[in-house]
Amino acid sequence: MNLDIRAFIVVATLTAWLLVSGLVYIPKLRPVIRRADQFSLIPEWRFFAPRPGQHDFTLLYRDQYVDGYSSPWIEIRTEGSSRWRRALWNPKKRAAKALFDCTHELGKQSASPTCAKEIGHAYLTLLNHVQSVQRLDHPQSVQFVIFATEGGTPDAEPTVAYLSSVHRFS
Amino acid sequence: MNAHPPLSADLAFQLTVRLGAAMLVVVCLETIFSIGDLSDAGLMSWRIARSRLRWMTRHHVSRVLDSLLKYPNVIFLILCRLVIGLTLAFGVLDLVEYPWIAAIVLATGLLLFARGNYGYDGADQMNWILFGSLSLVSIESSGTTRLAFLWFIAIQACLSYLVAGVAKATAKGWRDGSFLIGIVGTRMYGHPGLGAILRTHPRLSAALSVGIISWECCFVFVLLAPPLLALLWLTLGFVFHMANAYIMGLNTFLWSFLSTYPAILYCSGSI
Repeated sequence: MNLDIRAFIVVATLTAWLLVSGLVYIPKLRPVIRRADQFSLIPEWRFFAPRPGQHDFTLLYRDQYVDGYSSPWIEIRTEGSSRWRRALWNPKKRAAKALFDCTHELGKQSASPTCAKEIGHAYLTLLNHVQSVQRLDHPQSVQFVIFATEGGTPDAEPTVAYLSSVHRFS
Repeated sequence: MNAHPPLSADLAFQLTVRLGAAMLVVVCLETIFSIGDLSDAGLMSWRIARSRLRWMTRHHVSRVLDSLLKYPNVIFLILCRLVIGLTLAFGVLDLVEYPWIAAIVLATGLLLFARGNYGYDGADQMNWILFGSLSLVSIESSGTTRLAFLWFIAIQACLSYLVAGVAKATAKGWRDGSFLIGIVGTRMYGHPGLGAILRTHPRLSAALSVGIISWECCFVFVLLAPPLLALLWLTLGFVFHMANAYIMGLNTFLWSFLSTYPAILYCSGSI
C-alpha cells in the first residue's frame, strides 16, 4: 500500500478517535458510544467529579455452622503502606479500588430485585472472594457485609452499605 | 504565539513513549506483587469474570480466553507486558516502529480489561490511549504520523483536565470544598493529618478546590502559551500529580499523565 495512504489512514483514525472522545459528552450520543465501546477506548475523564466517592468500604464475612452457631464478623483486611511508599509503589490500590467498584455497582442495582443482584458480577465476585478465604474448619454457609465510613466524619459509626444473603458452600 | 517548540518532535516522541513505558513497568510489577488478586480467590478472579459479557461465553472464544486469562496463565501476559515496558523505557526506542510491539501492549491490556473491569482508573485509560495510538503510528512511522501522535496525546490530555475541571465546577460540593474534605478524610484516598486540617479549616478546603478547578479548566490554554509559561503550567501539573500520589496513593497517575507532558510541550511551542 502506498506510504501516503497508510499515513492518511493513521492520521484519519487518530482524528476520528479524538472526535468520538469529544462526542461522548453529548448526552444523546453517550449511550450509543458506550454500547459500542466494549474496551473503554473512548475515555470519560471524571477524576472524582462531579460527585466523588467519599467513603471507605470494609468487607467482612461471617460463617454459619450446621448447629446454628454464627461466627463473629471477620474483616478482610487490605494491608496498607506508608504514605511515602505508596506515592511510589502501591500494589494494593487495585484490590481496594475493586472493592470500591463492586460496592458502587451493588449500589446502582439497589432498585433491582435481590435475585437479580445476586447473579450480578459484583455480587458473585464478593461472594467468591469471601468463600475462598482459607479456613481451618468447614462452615455450612457464609454471609458478607460491606461497611461504609464517611470521609468527612471519620469518627461517625460505620453504616451498612450492603448485606448479602446467606449462601451455602457447595 | 510561538512556532519554536522547546523540544524537537523526535525528543517529545521519545520521552512520551519512555514515560508511558515506565508507567507500564510500574503497573506490571505492582500486579505481580499482588498476584493473589488475580487468582480464583481474588477480587479479580477469572472464574467469575469469564461470564460477565455474552461474547466471552461463546464456545471458541471462551476456550481461547480461558487459555490466556485463567490463573496462573495470565502471569505470562503480564510478564510479556513487563518485558516490552522495560525494553521501551530503557532500551532501543526504534523497537516501537515494529507494528507488533505497541499492538501487543494494547492487545494484552485489553485482554486484561476483558478479564475484569474492576480496579482500573484514569491512569490505565490514558496508558491504553497512548499505546493504542502508538500501535497505529507503528503501521506507518513517519514524521507526519508521529506529529499526529503527539497532537493526539496532547489534545487527549488537555481534554481530560478540561472535562474534569468543568465537571467539578458544576458541583456545589466541589466549589465549596466539602467534597475535598470528604475525599481527603478517607483511608483509601486520603491523609488523616490533612483531612483533620481541612475539616477544621473549611475555607482552606474551598480555596484549594477552587484552585484545582481553575487549573484544570484552564489547562487547555497551555497549547497557546509561550514555552516558559507552558513549562510553568506543566510544572504545576507535576506538583499536582506528585501531591495526589502522596496524599491519595495515585502513583500511576503521575507516570501516566507525565508521559503526555512532552507531547503537550512540543505542541504548545508549535502554534
